[in-house]
Amino acid sequence: MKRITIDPLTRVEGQGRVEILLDDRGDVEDAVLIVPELRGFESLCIGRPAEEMPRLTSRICGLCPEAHLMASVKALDALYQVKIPETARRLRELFYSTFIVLDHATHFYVLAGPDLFVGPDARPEERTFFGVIRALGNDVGKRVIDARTRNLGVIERLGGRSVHPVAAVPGGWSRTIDEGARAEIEAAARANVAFARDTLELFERVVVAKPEMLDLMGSESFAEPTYSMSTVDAGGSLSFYDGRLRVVAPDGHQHASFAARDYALFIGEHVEPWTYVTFPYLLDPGWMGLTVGAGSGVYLASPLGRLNAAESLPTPLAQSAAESMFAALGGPGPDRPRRPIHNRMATHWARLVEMLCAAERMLELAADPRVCGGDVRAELGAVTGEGVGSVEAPRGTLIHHYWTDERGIITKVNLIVGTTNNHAAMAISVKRAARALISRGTVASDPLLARLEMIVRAYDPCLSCAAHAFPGGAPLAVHLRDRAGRLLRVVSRER
Amino acid sequence: MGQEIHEPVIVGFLCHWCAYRAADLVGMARAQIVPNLRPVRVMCSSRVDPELVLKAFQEGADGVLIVGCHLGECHYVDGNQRALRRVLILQAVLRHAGVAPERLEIAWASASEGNLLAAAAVGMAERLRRLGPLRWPPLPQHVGRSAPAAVVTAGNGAPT
Amino acid sequence: MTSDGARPRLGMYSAAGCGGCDVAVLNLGERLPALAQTFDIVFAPMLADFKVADLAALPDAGIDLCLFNGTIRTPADEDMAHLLRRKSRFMVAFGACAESGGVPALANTSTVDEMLERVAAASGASAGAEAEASQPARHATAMPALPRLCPTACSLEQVELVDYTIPGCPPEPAQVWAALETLAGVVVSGTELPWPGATLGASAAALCEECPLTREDRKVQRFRRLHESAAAPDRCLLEQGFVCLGVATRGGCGALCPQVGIPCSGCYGQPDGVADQGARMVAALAAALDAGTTSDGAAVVSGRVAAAIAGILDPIGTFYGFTLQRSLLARPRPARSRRPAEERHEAHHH
Repeated sequence: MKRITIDPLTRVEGQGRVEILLDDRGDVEDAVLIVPELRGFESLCIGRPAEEMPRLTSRICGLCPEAHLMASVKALDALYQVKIPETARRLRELFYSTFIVLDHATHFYVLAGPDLFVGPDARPEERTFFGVIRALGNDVGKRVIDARTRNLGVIERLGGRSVHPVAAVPGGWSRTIDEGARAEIEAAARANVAFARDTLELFERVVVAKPEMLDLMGSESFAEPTYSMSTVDAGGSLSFYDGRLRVVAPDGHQHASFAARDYALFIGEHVEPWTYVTFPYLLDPGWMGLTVGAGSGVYLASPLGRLNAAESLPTPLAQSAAESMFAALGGPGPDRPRRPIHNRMATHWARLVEMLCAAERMLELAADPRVCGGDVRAELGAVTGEGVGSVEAPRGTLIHHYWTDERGIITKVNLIVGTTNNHAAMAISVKRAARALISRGTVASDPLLARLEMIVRAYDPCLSCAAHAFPGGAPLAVHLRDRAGRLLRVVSRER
Repeated sequence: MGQEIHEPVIVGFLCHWCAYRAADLVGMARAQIVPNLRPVRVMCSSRVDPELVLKAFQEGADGVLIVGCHLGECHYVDGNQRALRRVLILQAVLRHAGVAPERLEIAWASASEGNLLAAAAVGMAERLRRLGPLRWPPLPQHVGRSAPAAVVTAGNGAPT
Repeated sequence: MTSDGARPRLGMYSAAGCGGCDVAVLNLGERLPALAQTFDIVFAPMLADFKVADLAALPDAGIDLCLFNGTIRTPADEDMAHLLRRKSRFMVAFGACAESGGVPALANTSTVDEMLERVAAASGASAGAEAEASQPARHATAMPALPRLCPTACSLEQVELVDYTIPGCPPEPAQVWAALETLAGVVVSGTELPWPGATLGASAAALCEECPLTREDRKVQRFRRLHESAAAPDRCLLEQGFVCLGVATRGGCGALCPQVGIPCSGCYGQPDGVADQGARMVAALAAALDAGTTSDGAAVVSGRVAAAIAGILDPIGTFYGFTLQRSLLARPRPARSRRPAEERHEAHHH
C-alpha cells in the first residue's frame, strides 16, 4: 500500500496534513485530513476563574480570537445571568462585525488568494500573498493591506489590542467610545463597504468569469449534499453575533431551530480512534459514517452553510449579492425561492457576500450615535454554575459551554469550535476529491496535490481551533485487559 | 529493615539585628544546636525576596525559615511586617503548586532570645522529617520526548 | 554577511501555537512589501507552499533567520525544533509560547498520566480488569497513529538552543518590525550581533515604566477579581485592587490592556532581573497592601492578608499565565551540560 503525504497543509490556519493511501492498483483507498497538534484547552481551563476564560480561550486561535472572546463572554453573561446594556451590545456587535470583515478578507486574499489568482499550476514560490499582489497589481495589493490595517485599528480601538483583544467583560464591555472615535469607525465602515463591493466585483470578473472556475464551482465532484447550519435572528436573517441556530436539510427545507444552550439535544460528537478532533453531527437523523445521503447527520457550517441555512441576509447590498450567487449556482427549487448550494468551491463566493454583510452591519452600528458613551456594564447576578455562549465564527458556529463551582471557578468545559462543525464534511470532501484527482497511473505531481489542497482550503479551516482538545476532553480509546493480557473491550469516549 | 530518615535541610534567613545575634548566642551557650539549619545573614527579614525562597527550594532546601525581629521592634520600622505579608501570600502560591505551606515559615526573636530561634528551627526540622524531602520542581517536569504510556495495574498483573 | 549577496532567507514556523504570531507578522501591514523585499521567505506554512520536504532539502544554516513560535507539545514539535535549528543560522523564540510555554503550558499543572487516569476511572474499569489508559497506537487499518504528547509542554529553549527572543502574545507589530530590522541589519550589513540570548523588540524594564495610568501610592484593602467591578479609567489598576501583572512584566507593548481597563496578564514575560513572575508579583501584592500599623500583631496581619487575597483563587494560572516554563516552580536546577553563552556565540560568529 503506497502512501502520499501532503505535509504540511499550507496557507491554512494551524497545522494540518493530508494522507492518501493508494491500493495496489494505484487507486485511492482512503484520504484523510490529519490535525497533528493539540493543546488541551478543555483540560487546562479547569481550575481557572471563569472571568479569565475570554483571555484564555482567545489563545485557541490567533486568526479568530475575537470569536472565542465573544462566545466566552456570552457564556459568562449566562453564567452570571446578566443582561448587558444596549450600548454594550452595540459595541460588541460593532467590534464583531469589524472582525468578520477582517478575517474574511485575510482568508480570501492571503490564504486562498494564491489559489484563485495565481493558480495551482504556478511554482510554489509564486503561490503567496506577494504573488497575488503581482497578479492583481500594486493598487489592489495596497487596498488589501490598507483594509487590514484599517480594521486592525478599529479592533484595537474597541478591544484594546489588534491580536487577542481584551475588552470583553461579563455584563458588557470594559470601555466606552466617544464621538470622535465613532466618527472614525464610521469612516472605516464606509471604506469597508466599498472594499467588499470591489472584492465581489473582482471575484466575479476574474474568477467567476473564467469558465474553468465556474465549472469548478458548479461541479458535482466537489458538491456534498449535507445539512446546513447558521445562527439567525428573529426574522430568520443571518446573524453573526446572536440568535437561534437554524438547520436546513440538503433540499433546503427547515429541519431544526433551537437555542444555542440546547445544542447538546441536537448535536452529537462522533469519535474516531485516529484523531483527537471530534466529528459533530445532527442527532436527528444520526451518524452513518463519513458519508452523505439519507440518514446521515453530517452538516456544513461555514459561510456557504450559513447562506444556505439563513432565510435572508439582514443588509440590502449583501442580500442582493446573495441572490446573484444563488441565481448563478443554485437556481430556484420547486417549492422555495432557492435551493442550497453544495459545491464547496462556492464557499469563496459566499464568504465575500458575508464580508459585505458584515461591512454593512458595521456601518449601521457605527453611524448610530447610540454606540457612544453611556452605561456599558451591568451588574452581575449570582453565579449559576453553568453558562453557554455562541456566535458565528468565520468558519462556523462556535459554542462555549462552561460549568463552574459556587465561586465561579471552572470545573468543566465543552467547546464546539467553528471548523470542527465541518470536520466530517471536510473528511468526505478530501476523500472524494482525492479519488477524483488520483487514480491508477496518475502522477502525484505538485500541481495535482495543490488542487487537492484547494478543496480543503475552500472551507477556510482553522486547524488551531480544531486542535484545542486533549485527553480528558477528547476521544481516547481505553483498552480494558484482564490479568492475562487479553483484551476485554475497548471503550471510547463519546459525548 | 530500617528506613533511612532523610535529614531535612533548612535554609534560615536570619535578620542581622536580632536573629543572627540570637544564633551567636545559641552557638556560644552550646545549647541544642540544630544541624539542619543553614544560616544566611540578612540585614532585615524584608531583604528576603520571594524569589530567594523559591531559589532556596530549587537548590535543595526542604524548608525555609525566616527569622526577624518581633513585630513593632524592626530596626527599619516595618521591614518585618513586609516580610510577614510576603510570606503569607507566598504560602498561598506554594499550596496551590502542591508544596506544603509549612515548608516556609516566619518566626520572631530578639537578640537575646536564642531559645526561641532554636525552638523554631527544631520544630521545623521535626515537621519536615514527617513531610519528607521536598521534590522540586513541584509541577510535572519531564523535559524531552514522550514517556511510555501509563499503565494502571491491579494487584500482581504484569503491565501490558 | 550573506555569502553571495543574496537576500537573507527567512523561515517561520508554528509548533503548538495559535497562529497569532504568524498573524502578527502579517499585521506588519504597509511594511509587508518591505519584508518581502528584505527577506527571501523560504519556509512559512501559513503564507507559502513550501513543504517539510523542501525544508529538509535546504543546506544546514540555509535559513538565515528563523522565527519559531508555539509551545513544544508533541515529539513532532520537538523534531521540527531540532530540524529548524540545524537549518538556521539564527533561531528566534518568537512569542510567549516559544519563550516560556505560553497558555498551553498551563496544562503542566497536571500530568498527562493523571489526565489519562481520570479517563480510565471514568470508563468504569471493574475489579479483576486492568485499565490501560494510553494514548492509542495505530488504528487497525493503515490509518496514521494519533499524535502522542510530550509529558511536559515546553518552551523552545528547553529543547533547543535559542539565539534571541521576541516576546509577547503576540509581539506587537511595531516591535516585530524593530526586531526584524535589527536582525536583518546583522545579516545584510554585518552590524554587530545583539549579545547571545538577548530579548529584542521589548524594553528591559517593567511595564509600569511606560504605563500612562496615574499612580497615587494608594494602598489596597482587598484584591478583586476582574468581573467584580469596573476599573476607574486613568488610574493605576493595581492600586484599585486589580491583580495587574504590569510590575512583573516586561514593557514594550505600550500598556495596551490597562488602557482599556483590563489588568495586564503578563504576556510579555518577565523583565530583566526578574527570575520568576509569580515571585515578583507576591512581593508587589504584599507592597500594595494596606500595611496597618507597626503595633499590629501577627494574627491581625494574617487575618488582614488572608481577607485581602481571598479573591486570588488561582495563583498559578494568574501569576504564570504565560511564563510557567520560565518559572522557578517549573524548572529544575539548571544542568551543568547546558552550553554557556560564550560558546553559543562562537558557534554562529563567522
